[in-house]
Amino acid sequence: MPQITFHPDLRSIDVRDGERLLAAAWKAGVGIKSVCGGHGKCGSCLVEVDAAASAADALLPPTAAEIELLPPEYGARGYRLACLCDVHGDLALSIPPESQAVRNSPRKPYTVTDVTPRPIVTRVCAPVAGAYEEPMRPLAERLRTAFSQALGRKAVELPVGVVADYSTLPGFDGASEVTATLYSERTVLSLQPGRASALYGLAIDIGTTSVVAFLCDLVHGRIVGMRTAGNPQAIYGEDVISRMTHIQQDGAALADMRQRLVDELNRLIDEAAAEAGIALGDIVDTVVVGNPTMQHILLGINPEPLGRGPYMPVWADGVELSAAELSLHALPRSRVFVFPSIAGYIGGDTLAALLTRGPEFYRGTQLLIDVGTNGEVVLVHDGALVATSCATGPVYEGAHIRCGMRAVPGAIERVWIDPKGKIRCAAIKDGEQGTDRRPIGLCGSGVISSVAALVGGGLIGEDGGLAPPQSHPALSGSAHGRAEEVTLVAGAYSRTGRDIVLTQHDVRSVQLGKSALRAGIEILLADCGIDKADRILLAGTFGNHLEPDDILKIGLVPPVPVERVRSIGNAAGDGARMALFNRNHRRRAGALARRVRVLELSLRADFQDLFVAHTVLAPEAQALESV
Amino acid sequence: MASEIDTIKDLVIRGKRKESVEETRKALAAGVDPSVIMKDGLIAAMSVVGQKFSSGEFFLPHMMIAARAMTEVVEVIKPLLVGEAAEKKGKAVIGTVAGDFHDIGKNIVKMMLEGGGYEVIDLGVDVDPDKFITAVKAESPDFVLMSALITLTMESARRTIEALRSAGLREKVKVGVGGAPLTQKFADEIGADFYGADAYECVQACNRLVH
Repeated sequence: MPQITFHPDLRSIDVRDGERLLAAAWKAGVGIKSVCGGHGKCGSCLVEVDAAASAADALLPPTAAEIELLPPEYGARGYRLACLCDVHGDLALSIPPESQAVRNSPRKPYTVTDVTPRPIVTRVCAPVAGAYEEPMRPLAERLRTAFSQALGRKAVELPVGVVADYSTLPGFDGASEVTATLYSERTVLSLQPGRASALYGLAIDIGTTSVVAFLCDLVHGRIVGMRTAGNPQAIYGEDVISRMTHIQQDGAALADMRQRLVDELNRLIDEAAAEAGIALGDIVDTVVVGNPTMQHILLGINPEPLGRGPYMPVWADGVELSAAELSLHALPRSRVFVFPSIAGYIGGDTLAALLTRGPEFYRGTQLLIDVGTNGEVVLVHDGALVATSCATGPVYEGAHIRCGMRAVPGAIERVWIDPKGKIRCAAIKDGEQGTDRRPIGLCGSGVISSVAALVGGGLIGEDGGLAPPQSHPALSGSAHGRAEEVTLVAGAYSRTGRDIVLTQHDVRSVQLGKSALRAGIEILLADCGIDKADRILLAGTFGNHLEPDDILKIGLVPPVPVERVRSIGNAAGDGARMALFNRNHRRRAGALARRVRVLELSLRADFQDLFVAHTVLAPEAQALESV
Repeated sequence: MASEIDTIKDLVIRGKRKESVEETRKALAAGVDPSVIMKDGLIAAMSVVGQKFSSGEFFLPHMMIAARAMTEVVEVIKPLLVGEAAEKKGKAVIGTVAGDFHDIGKNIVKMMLEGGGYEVIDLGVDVDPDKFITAVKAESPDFVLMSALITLTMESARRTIEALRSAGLREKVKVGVGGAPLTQKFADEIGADFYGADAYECVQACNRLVH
């Protein structure tokens, strides 16, 4: 049985002869980036084979397909593509930084929203009659009476399981005061002897790329801890479609993805609770938001129908389960509220983002845009809400781009041209002293920033074509008189030793992503009989790192004065916390979901022309006739 | 005459719809053979546009407007073609596969095929295997062309091919597939006759297989 050893941590696994390298790495929990989900399309799952430590016949020579996908400078250095290699002998390899699936994605900032806590879970302490008090009654009855009186209502629901758990606690029978944790002031979730008032809850935002958990004090309405991590399902591919494809092909993949997600959430919860010194049993309520695919997977529902027209969710209602049912680390009987979805690609996360908007939002004509692998756009006009989702593609996550990468330290996030005409870049720093500051590649905002800067500098035309190679020293290669790539950082200054470039193909991907979003926005505007919005709100991580100037310059959003483009941070997480702190917001979420009208772009006859016309990298589309 | 044809070809390549039609009308009035406009104007223009797209010089908008100009010129000259020239090169049934609504690529293929002298029956989007079968029975085409733009809907192409096989129609048509997530390998795997990386490749493959 061949063995694979992964450097540098020397983790090793046994594999079946002929097993696909990428699949074996996934099983071992080794994260290798795979933009296309292992289909031999993207060339992102690069591994560096240590020939000296591997059997000579461990891998067959690369096939024509693999050679074509391998950048030439990689092939010569012994790199292979994990999704195209079968393992036939002992193998040692390492995964270069640019193809490591990112597990820790620390960039999920949050804004603090003022809230008046009105949690749905409360704790009530009540004096309980002793066993000898007349009339003598069983403990459960005495407890029921005590809490009914304390709450001033006829009956509380006291499940036998709660009493059973309580009966195993020391001193349960003699306690003169007992604290009940109550859901909606009606159902007892747990009992404990003595007084207790602390109440904690979790607000969880599950993104395709990263997950974030907020541990919150429900009494005082504050965040007491936050943890974030990469979505562990990334080993099945970076986007939702890749994950659905795996589920389509392998019946066990859904359960595995769910389990990985829950395990990772539990790790975040454990860490946050430990750091804040909070017992898991004091976590009494949880709210989860995510895109529809993530919500489906968390609920164990096959998301596959979301991947093809007409993109109908299997389940779209808001739903409450117990923490125990989801195996989530919280008080076992506490509820977990999973947000409703609006449509197949407009989920609880969009709804939660909407929830953060106050009455002033509904008075104007505003666009709320959340851009990731998929772009969700909500337009409010005359108090009515219309939404659509746009297949922007993974370019905004830095994927499908030759030198693309996630927004982690080392990723270039901003590019500009200095007065001398030289291309300058700024990369994300990791804050630690003495670490290598040299850039590795481009994250999504870096891609947009570079395209905007290069269009401004004349290196890229508004039609997306690169200028002739002789017009700027950074341009190189030549096909039909135009350059084929732009060197942003020379190999001598990059961490990989290779040039960081933006290729003609990369620019084309940006154009397709840009026009998908913009055409969607234009259709929403047209549907409301208007041609412009007053304000543009950008939600999500990506929005935080974009320069409004850049996105206006390439026409990703319709023209507005630059000060009217504003990032509202991780609005989905904010909305989830609002719903956690205040029960009324859960009802509002349901009402909002019903209020949003959804337009399906692929069914619109006018989409094609708008899409094609908006591929230009300019604020306004060019009429097709004048291209 | 050669210069008139070259003008038409050039206008079509540049996607000048109105001017292409005007030039075509002028050429016809001057007695230019419509079959020559077809062959040396349109088909030649299509091959230039296809190459420019493959090389990255042209992008979607150029492709789209050129294909539209081509379609309009075809409309003008079609009624005038006689004899051998009036005969269609072949017939294709085309559609996006079940569950897939992305049709820009398919529409360009359709226009390029028409410009290339084919009759095209467009079944639209989200075409399930049964609809393809019905069309093949009714139209007896030379080609069944399918496009898919999502990894998840690629499998629908396989289902259509299987359905053609069970209906005993597989040998009667050539099947071509295309779309961003597809590969030659996938086309081989599902038993398609060819894979077209772009619209021009598809037309070329049809030209190769039609005889």
